Amino acid sequence: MWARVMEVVLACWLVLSQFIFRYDGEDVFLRTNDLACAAIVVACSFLSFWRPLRYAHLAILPVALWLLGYVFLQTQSAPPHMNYMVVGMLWMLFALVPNYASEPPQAWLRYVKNMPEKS
Amino acid sequence: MDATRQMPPWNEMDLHVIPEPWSYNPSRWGERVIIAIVAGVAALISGYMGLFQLGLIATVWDPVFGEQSARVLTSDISHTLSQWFRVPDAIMGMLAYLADVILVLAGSTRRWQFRPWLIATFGLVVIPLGLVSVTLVALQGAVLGTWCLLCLITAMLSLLLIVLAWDEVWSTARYMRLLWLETGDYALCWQTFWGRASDRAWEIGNQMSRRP
Repeated sequence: MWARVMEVVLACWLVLSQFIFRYDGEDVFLRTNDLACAAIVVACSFLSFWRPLRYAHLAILPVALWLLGYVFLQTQSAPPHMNYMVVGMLWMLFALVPNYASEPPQAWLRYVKNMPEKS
Repeated sequence: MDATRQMPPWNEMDLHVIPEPWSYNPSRWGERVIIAIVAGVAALISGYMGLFQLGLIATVWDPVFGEQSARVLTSDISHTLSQWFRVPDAIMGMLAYLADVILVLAGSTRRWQFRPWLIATFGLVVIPLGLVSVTLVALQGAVLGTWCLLCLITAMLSLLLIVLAWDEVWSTARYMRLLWLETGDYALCWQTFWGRASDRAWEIGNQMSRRP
């Protein structure tokens, strides 16, 4: 579950980054976008801890792609956009990492556990 | 936490088998931690060069080529790449090395069999991107006639990563190839690629490996 923790850490960074990069006072879109993306990612990460929604972390992929797509639509690369690029890429990578990634997949664990019954 | 999760039957499953043709398990933690450290060092170096490209530090350390490093990092090629990536190319390099770290730390010590998709992704990040990194560094030297010590170090670390990652990628490729040759079942291969368990996949995994 370390990948889920890292996703939440990055979400916190994104929320804080508006203060670090000192967005323009009128830039409501970026502030709202930061908060919305961070909220979705935190929700997906926490929902992944619940077995019926264990694949919820994959819903972070569209959020990451949105950030990357938004950056590529911009004509200039301002610091908030570069931040989106870095956070989006890292979210995309972490979202690919399964829960309990250091263990074999559940399908294989179940298979081996049921092996004596098969033979 | 997930209370209903099945506990792993470690006593029934040997996670440390050695796939042919190796004399060691390419997915063992010892090797993967080394890859993570090498990629982590490369990420730090790239991040440092990225700070220079962002203008957050005034100079870049280079005891061998001196001012040439700064010229490489502010060259037209570098600016063009930065325009494509929307971030300085060194920062993009840092992200690629961080991808290596993240992907190498995921998976069990038998992930070459249990998570082929993960090894394929890892292989795609390490091998082609490593070659691109080396090519770019060579290109900068050849086109600009200037060299950058830290760029050369990261290029060498990229080559080292390819060497270190190769065995695991090979084991997975061989496992998937054997599965295809012995079954010819596209659906089974597809499901196995995504981590689905099956009798044939288990048999072939055991057939091509031995216990330590």
